[in-house]
Amino acid sequence: MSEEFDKKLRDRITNVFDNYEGSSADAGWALLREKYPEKDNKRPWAWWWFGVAAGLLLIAGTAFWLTDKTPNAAVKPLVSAQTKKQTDDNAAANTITPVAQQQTIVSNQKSTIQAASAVGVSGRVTKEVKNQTSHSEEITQQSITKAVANRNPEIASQVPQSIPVAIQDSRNLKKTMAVVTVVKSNNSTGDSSATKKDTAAKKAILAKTTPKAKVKYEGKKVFLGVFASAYYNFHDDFVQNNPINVGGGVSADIRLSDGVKLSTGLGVFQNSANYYPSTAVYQPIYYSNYYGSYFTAKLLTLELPVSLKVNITKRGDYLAGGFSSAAYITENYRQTYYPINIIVYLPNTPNSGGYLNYYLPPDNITQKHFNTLIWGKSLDLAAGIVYPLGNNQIVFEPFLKYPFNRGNENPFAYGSAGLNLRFTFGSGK
Amino acid sequence: MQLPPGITEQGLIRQCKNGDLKYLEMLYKHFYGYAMGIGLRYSNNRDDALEVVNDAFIKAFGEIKTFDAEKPFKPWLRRIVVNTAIDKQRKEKKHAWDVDLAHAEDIGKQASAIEQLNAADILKLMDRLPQAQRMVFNLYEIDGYNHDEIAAMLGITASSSRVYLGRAKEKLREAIRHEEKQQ
Repeated sequence: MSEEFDKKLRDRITNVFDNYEGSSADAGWALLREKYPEKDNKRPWAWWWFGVAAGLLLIAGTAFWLTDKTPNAAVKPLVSAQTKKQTDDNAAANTITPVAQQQTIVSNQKSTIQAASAVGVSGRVTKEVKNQTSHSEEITQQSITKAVANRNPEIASQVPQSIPVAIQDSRNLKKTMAVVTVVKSNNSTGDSSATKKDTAAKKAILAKTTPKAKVKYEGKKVFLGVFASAYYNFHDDFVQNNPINVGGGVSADIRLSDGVKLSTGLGVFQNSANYYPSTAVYQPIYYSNYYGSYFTAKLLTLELPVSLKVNITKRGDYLAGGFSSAAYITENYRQTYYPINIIVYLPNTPNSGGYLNYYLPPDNITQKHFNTLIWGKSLDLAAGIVYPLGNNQIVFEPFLKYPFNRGNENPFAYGSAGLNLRFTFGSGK
Repeated sequence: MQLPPGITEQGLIRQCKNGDLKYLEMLYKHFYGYAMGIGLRYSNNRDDALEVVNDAFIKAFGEIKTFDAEKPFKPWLRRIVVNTAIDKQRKEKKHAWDVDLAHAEDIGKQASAIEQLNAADILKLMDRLPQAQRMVFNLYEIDGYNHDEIAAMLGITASSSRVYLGRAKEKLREAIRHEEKQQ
């Protein structure tokens, strides 16, 4: 008796609850979406590596930039060492050292320096130094007149034929470079053969000094800059009413060879788009009733571009190609539903009474912070039109970023096309 | 919710393995009623049941990549919902293992026969059971676990499980007969 009763009760409960129809599935789904998907914190290592890469780039760029200033400083100790050696060896060398020292004082004006050997070496060095006040540091030696009457061949033999001297002046006077040449001569002042040698020496000096100035300019390997961008985002699916987005950051161009640079940097970019999925747009809720959806994506990314720039004109216009990696600072996605048939029947609503109603799911909203990191996010192509501005450059750079990863791995695999405005320090000619 | 034409349960589950939200939503809504029916039997109220169901679906979404789409989905989901309900009870320490059953209150005028019991009537009956008896009754009678399994799941002995089941069934019989007499 009891067993039969229990069996009937069990069967009834099973029958009722196995076929239970919940009417609040939409509300339940909305609640579930508050918890799902959970924030993905499983990839801190990727963020760590991204930070390390960005930090190394900044440090390397700064180091290169600082080392660009070393050529001037590198020459000075060399001269000091040479003059010191001569001072120690023979008093005749003293005729050069004071000249260099006086140049640092005279600096802004043309100067004529005369020096004579205290040990019987009669020499006269007349030199004009033009102070250089610009970054180009072009050296102009207006005249070098010299006559050395060497009465002591032993001492004279120890004096170098030519000593280039570069003097870096005080901050107020900026940079001054000078060349002092001592040419030994066995004859007294006014000797015709000495004059010929002087002329040859002048040419040799000019030949040597001019390349040195050029070498200094070309020795700059890294050019830092800043940039701002304005662009549209595009998507594989149909895009509508897209706003203009903006971004900006810092850049570093590393000269690899003449006309070829490796360009990198770090930038923050805003990306947003409204797009309609091309697949599975229409999902039937119930038979013969349909709704569709569109997505709105708003993203803030930290991007690390790496590209090669090849000059195509003498002015420095270039073509560039490379790729960008991106760390997503914020991601906001909203899926909004809309009716296709305008009027949709509720499942349990009697149609006979003419009662109709809309049924649309609530918006799906997904928000993430520091959740996504994509290496090689896009293929970057650009063309730079360069305008020198003093010693710097302004570059107008149309660009296209075409996304590599599309599909499930990157739900909003967007590209962008627009214009960069770059300002590069110290790269003008 | 019925599945759209051309989409089978197996096909839907395969799509869900990719983690696509729109297919997960479809799966959720398709099996929501079934899961809610289980959750309600193990919970004291509807809100608790919904929480159990959603937690169970989140677990299911996380594990669905390992699920064999050729096998029936319902038994797998049922196990997840039941385990989630038990975990929730354990966390909230709502076990009232020693509380005896009071007389069932009004079940409903139409509940004079077992065949006429609806979901609300059954839940009213179950609400009057102590939590331990309710869980053992559901696990054994409805969901098909044996006493050893129930003992392991609830952290009690198998003999205690038998006692709880006997008491639960007796109280339910008593409550239903009481209602029949009143009619």
